[in-house]
Amino acid sequence: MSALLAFIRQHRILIVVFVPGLLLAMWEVTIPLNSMLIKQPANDVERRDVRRLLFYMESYRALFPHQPDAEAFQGFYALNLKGDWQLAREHFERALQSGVKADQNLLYWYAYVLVKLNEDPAKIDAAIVKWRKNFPSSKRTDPRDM
Amino acid sequence: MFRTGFIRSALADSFWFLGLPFVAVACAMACQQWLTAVAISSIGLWITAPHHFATWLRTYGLSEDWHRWQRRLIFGPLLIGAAAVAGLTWAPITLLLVVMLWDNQHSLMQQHGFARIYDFKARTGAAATGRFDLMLACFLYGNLFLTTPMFTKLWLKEVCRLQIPISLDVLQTIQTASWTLTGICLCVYVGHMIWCLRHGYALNPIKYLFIAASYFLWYFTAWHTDSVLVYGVAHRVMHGLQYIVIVYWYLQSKKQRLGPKLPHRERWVQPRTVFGFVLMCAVYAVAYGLISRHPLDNFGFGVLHFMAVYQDAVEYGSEPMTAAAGYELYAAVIISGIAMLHYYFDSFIWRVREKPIQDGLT
Repeated sequence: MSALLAFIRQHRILIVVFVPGLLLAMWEVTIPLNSMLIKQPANDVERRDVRRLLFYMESYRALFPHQPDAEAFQGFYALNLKGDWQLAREHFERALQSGVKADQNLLYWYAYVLVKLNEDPAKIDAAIVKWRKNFPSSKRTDPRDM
Repeated sequence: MFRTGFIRSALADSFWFLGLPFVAVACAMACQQWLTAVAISSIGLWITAPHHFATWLRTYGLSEDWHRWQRRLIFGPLLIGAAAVAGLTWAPITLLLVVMLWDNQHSLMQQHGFARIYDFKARTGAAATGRFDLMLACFLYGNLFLTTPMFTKLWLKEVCRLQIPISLDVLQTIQTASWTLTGICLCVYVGHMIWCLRHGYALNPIKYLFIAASYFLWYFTAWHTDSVLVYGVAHRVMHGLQYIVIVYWYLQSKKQRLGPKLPHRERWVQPRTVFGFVLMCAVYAVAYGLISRHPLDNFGFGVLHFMAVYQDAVEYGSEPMTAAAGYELYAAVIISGIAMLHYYFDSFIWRVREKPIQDGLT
């Protein structure tokens, strides 16, 4: 008994970290994995995933309405669920006005929207250069080639 | 009533512990203004990786520590390695959450540990002050985690991914409760300080300046509009550098105390000068970056684009450089560079007409 207590005392930080981790992992393996990708739902499972994602974005917007992420989320919603590229562009530009550089999704999908809207090539190039400069190792396809 | 004490000295602490958070915030703002997002990865490579190296140096390089914690130092890596592999295979979200939470607990405990050293050095505070310090750290950091936009974005996403039922009202209640409890905790802490003074326990004002500087950095950067970059840089600079510095001081102190009795293991790992220590850290950073196949651009803060060499040559049929091609080019540069060094040195070290060289040949 004392040996067990000594073992627990000696390794308590690992126990504190990994026992709840194990319980959480058991919870995780029982739920279907989803990628939280925002897109038009094709079935019930995807409809539930989209609802969950919308809850995430709308909760964040309600909690932090003035953060650029709140604008970016509205842009993603307009782009992927409404298919409204112009509205998406407006939200993305408002988010970018704050000087955000470390959000790859925002930089990439802004460039994508400009391509879809047949914007001035110089403007598209500038958006792509900004994305590429901040994420030079990104494996995403150049929006001009999509 | 008040008694000052320092971890190292007034001058050293003024820079490394009291001033560094502000320097780190200034660096982060400069990175945000003039550099690209690559700066986060570069700071991770040049500061975070060497701060891990400092841990290896301390744990596996000091005979005393090795003998004291031998079982943990063998068993720990095996268990953590197995957990990481299992997590990546079966429960990646859990692994991410565990790493994220442990990282935050580790960050708060480092600052708490430094705060305790201030009391230890100045012989200040009552017997219960350590517990009050820990309570303050937990509430301040917990509040940071629960209420700032940067952290909320992270944990809220995982909560949704794990399908944990929660509503907007509950989220707002959590944040309001967090601010309220943090306010109460601050009042209790100030009450404890007053109690200490009334009962004749001295307080170390440097400790409170240190705590205030550290939490200023975290709160200010976590509310910044580009918090991922600004917090990422500022936190890593403060956390990594303070850790590297304390390990260096610790090793130096042990070395001085042992003097000529310094064990064989320490002779190998203990640098004689600051320059030697920094060089070892830099070599580790480069080795770590190459072995873990960090993109080469991460070495140059986004200012040096190693992989952008052929990006504008599309009209000649050349495609943008991939990461693999970047490594091949890098390897070619090293091979050519070493060969050129050999040519250069040989051009002057073998001049037979010179007397010192003739002496070496007879």
